[in-house]
Amino acid sequence: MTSQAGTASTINSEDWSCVFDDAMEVLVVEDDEADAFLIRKALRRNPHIARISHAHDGLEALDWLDKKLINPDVAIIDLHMPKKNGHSLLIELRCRPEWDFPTIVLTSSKAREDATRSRLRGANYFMTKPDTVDELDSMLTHAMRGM
Amino acid sequence: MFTKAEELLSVVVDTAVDGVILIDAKGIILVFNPACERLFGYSAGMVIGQNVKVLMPAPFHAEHDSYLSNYHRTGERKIIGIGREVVGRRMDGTTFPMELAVGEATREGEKLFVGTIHDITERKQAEEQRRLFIEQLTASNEERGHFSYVASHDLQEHLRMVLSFNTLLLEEYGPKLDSQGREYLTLSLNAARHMRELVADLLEYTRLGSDQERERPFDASAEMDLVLESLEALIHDSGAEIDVDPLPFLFGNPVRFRRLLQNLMGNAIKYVPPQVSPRLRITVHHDGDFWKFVVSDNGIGIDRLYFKKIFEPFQRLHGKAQYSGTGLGLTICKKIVAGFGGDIWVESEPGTGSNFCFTVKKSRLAA
Repeated sequence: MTSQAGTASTINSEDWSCVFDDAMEVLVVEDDEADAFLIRKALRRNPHIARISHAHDGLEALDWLDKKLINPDVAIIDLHMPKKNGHSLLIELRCRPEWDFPTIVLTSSKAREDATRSRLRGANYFMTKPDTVDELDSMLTHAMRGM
Repeated sequence: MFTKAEELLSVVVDTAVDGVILIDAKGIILVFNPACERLFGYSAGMVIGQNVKVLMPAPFHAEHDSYLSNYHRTGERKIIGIGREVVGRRMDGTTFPMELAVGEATREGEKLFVGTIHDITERKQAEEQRRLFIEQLTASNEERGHFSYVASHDLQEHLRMVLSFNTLLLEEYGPKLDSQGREYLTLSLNAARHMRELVADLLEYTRLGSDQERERPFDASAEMDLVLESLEALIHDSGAEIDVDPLPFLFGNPVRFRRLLQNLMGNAIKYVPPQVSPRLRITVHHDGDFWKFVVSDNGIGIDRLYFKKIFEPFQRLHGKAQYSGTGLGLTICKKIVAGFGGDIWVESEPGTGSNFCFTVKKSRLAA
């Protein structure tokens, strides 16, 4: 599942023709397949999103960014992931000025300290995963509209 | 020859249950009564004439001389005239805790010290057992709290998936199912939603015991405004009329206070007979060191039999179809009120409404 260094072919992304000029590319960093499915499902409802890439942890996301395999307009990042979790991914993103796309932390955690830590590390939004795709769709759309 | 008084005095010393020991200014033992013999295992003959240090374990053994000379020089007392818990050393080298009281006398220009010794081994053992018991109890409580928290959190995660995918199933495949299939799916979704509420309440209940949220002075009226805002839909739909006294400043966790009011007022709105609009009145009174809050309603009321039971976990008096709920709302209230140093109870009669009363300790910090 995880891409190996230099193997661009393993990138897990969806790209479909889009008629909008402001077509967006979204990076989803999420280790749980079921959650990733639901996030993609919600994103696909948004006609402004043209490309969705799904990395399974922070390391994979950084690898793709480093190799310029992806050029996201926004990243949706889970916190609890193997190899490199969301908090340390946020730190790495902040260290590279060229990766200045906004970030949305989407986690099952409701803990205030997770929200605070995420914001301190530069996350633009902190969201707790909702119960339905409908809610997820409206939360993400609302966040992206504000960017 | 002894005088009568001297004879009686020696009877006192010889039969005293506690150890009695007499030493001179240099610490030499002059009298060692039978109780002391039992306590220390030495016979009087073995220790009379020896320094009292022989009855002390290290490091007191080594320090005693300097303690005595320091006392003679400066008058600084550590035990003399005061009494304290120290450790005694038996002839076989074992030690035991004892309470030592020392009185001072002067006879023919020489200072003398009388020590009375009470063996406190049993008391110390009981204290230690109690301490261990409390330690174990605290640890097991903490472990249980942590376990429930983790279990509830993980349960919530899986339930979120069940809800998400069942909702998708109903949305995307609902039209392909017949009405019975859709009903099954709706029932399973409702069950998952109910379980979600239940787990959320369980999670909150276990959190109440574990996290140390910051306490501060707060305006209960401002919290009440937020409660009314959060209950807005329920109030609107039920046509509830709510009358609230001006509320005082309190000290504690305002979020928990809000939850307390939310639960009590939510119940008052929910538990009304069909076709009746809820009428609530929230009053507050001085009650010594406490504020007494009363949430009065015109609801279905509660039989006296259940006055205590309703505050226990998962005690529901009605079917879920009739009145929804998780059975934890009032249990959470009880725990919150305990955190405010108060008590919660109900006064009610079936058919005439209920008064839910709770007290909150007044605090100078909140004034």
